[in-house]
Amino acid sequence: MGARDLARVWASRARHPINIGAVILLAAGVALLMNVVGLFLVLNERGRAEIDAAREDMVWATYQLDREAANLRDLLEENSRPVNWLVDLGQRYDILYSRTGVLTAGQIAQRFGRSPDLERSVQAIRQAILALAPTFDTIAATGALSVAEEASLTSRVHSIEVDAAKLIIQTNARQNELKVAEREQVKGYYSQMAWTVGGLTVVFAVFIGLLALQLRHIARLGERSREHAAAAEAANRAKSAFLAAMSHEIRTPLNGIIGIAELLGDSELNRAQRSQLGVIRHSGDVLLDVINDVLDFSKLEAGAVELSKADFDMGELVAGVASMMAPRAAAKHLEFEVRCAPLEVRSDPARVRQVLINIIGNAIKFTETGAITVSVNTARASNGREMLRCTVADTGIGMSPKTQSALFQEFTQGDPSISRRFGGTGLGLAICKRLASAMGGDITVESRLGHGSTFQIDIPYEPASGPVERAAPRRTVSEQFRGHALLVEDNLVNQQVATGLLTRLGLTVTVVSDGQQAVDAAAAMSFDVIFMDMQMPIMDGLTATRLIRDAGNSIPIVGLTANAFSSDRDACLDAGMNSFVAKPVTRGKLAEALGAVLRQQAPQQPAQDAPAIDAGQRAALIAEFGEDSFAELVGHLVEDGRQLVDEARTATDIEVRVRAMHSLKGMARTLGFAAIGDAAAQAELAFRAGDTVDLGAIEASVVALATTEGPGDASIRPVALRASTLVH
Amino acid sequence: MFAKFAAGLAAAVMLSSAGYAAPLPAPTGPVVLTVTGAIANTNNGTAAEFDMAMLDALAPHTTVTKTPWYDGPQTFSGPLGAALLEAVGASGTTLKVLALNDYESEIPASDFTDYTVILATALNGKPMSIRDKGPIFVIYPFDEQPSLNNETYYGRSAWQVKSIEVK
Repeated sequence: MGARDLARVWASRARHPINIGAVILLAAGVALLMNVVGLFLVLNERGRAEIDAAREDMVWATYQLDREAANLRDLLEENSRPVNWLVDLGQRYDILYSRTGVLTAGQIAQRFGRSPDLERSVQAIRQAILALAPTFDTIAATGALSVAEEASLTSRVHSIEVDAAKLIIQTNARQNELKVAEREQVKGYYSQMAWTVGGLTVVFAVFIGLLALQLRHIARLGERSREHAAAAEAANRAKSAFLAAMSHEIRTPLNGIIGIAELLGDSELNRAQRSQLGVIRHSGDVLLDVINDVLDFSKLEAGAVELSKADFDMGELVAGVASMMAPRAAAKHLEFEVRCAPLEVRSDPARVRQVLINIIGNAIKFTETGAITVSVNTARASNGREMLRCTVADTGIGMSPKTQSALFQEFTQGDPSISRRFGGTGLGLAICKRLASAMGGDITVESRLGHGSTFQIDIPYEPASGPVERAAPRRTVSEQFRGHALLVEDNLVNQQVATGLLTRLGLTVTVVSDGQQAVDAAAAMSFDVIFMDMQMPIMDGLTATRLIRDAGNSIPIVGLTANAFSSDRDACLDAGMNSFVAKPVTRGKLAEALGAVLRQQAPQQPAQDAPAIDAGQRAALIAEFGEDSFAELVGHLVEDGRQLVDEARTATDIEVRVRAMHSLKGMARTLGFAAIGDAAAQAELAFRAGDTVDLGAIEASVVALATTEGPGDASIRPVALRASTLVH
Repeated sequence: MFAKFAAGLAAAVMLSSAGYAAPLPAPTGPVVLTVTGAIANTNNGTAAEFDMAMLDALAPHTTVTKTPWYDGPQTFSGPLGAALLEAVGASGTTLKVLALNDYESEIPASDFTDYTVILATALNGKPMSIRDKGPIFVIYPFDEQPSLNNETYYGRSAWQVKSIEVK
């Protein structure tokens, strides 16, 4: 804020009447207080002066003079004249003489000095007394006093006595005047003090009044801001509701598009049709990504981000992400290098994966030539916490400092032209940044325009609490269920998709289109499982579930929800559902849900020699990349897998063997080939223990993939897939 | 400080020799001060009489101070009041001081020990005549002890002192 702005703020504040009043009162209060302090100082000084001027009483001094004059006259007029009469007479005179000193020097003289009349009288008497000195000096010298001299002396002393008597009266009058003047002065001080104190009281009273006004003003402001906060919260709720509605409205048709595309992919298609289907599928996936971004962000903004903690192998996770991203890099002919040691940690794997995918995806997106390098280490942050440090460096277009500063802000892309050129919601980095912050970590970037960018992702972690649990082989894609499913779904497209997928999974499907029909059907017939949509006319899914449960029916119920909010999931479980499936539904999701609720009915695991497949993982990858790209990935797995098996066989160094099997394990599990992954994991453990292992079965399984899962078009060869070979 | 202490010590030695070795000698010059009452040492019946020479022989002290009766600070000198009380072997608590003009003032004996009160016999180095409020002027150290500057002590400061009665 510049000086001018400050001045303006000050001026606008000063214009407020309360503030003006406060300033005036403050000034008045200070002035009055200074007056009080001044008065105090004056009175204090006066008191001190009074002590200094503690003085002989003026009237007392003149009275003494008069008395001594009378004593001298008495002695002169004494009839009996003892021997020492003349000596006594001299002494009396000396005493009278000494009194003049008191009147003409010291404090009393000072006070007389302030009154000219009095001063004149004193001087006259003093002169008269001093004038007698030669006479008394002669008496002292000669020891004699003539009668004539005595008469003259008596008369002069008498006249001194008369003057002294007059002086007493005069002095008394003067002293009274002084007293009155002093009293007036003191009265003045006191009245001034009274006025000042009165003024201060008024100032304080008004001040208190102003304070009360100010408090009321503040209270009113508080009330207003509470209203604003409530309004803002209401607006935010409306936004959330809107987003939820949006997600439902968009996901429902998207469910149809993706589901039908998946069904079509299983039918007989020619090359061109399959390619066109790929475009539909890809577009659907992109649209789903956008919606997910928006939802993620709205959740993060609402502070509703949920973090979970689990033990996992960071090396495995990174390898998985790498194999997911490698095809994209390969398509742009970019070098793609990943370095990550096996590292068992405890954190939120889903969030870490999300952030990594996003950042690596960006790196690939904004790099035309060169390489993407991902390396993962551990580091200690400045606050002492142990961090997983993932560094993603690219040789892409880079960013100017200005762009970097706006990089992590929502709805912002580095440059408006970027969004036209590269697309995207502009939410990705903002989401990553917020996710990292929510986990207690951070994302920073270093970049130079035209010289690439390096993102550093720091995520706190704890050591794994126990051995990392490996995903056990679950259902295979060829897994078949038996049973009778009730599908409750009002949307015709969704009905068609879900029915198709469930039928392919081996179930008989009965379809109804609202909750009431579902309740009726569940009462009338015996089903093995119910798939229940949430929002339907007549009766919604939650109500229907409650009614079915209330009727004592414990049939497994799986919710189908288009809303990705956890509150919906909670609502499902609260209503009595066993689990839920987020739309759009895929075969993998349905199979997983069925596996969970129909575990007892599920057929035995397929034979050991058939490649066991993690259907969920596979489905997720296919959902992410499409069938063709997945097939390509499988091709890489076959190629690299054979190489790794060779490496493990021929190497003499145990570490190299262990690493080779570790890499194979990561790759196989990432692509959903759980059985190969498990076999590799066993081999890894055996190698680590120093045992020898027959790798024939693993090699056979890997090679077998080439015929069952191989790419449709072998001409598309990736430039490099170093994710596995460079793992260390 | 040291000088003062030494002077006090000398006075104490002198006092003890005067008090015990020889009773008060008889005055040779004109008597200027008569002490009566509760005293141990006398030289004329029940009274102890002092001439100027005897007073000068007591522990002398000089006080320079301002007073209400003179303009500006003056130099007073004369025996310490405490030395006089020691010389006469006074045992009372109150001193009734009588002046030539029959002015009477009562001084607590403790004043003479609490403060360096002197019985001034000289003003600015000259003996004080009766005309100059002499021959003896009770002087408190007003400048040294500002708390003495009030009417009580001004009243106790008798001048033209002729006798002291110890009660």
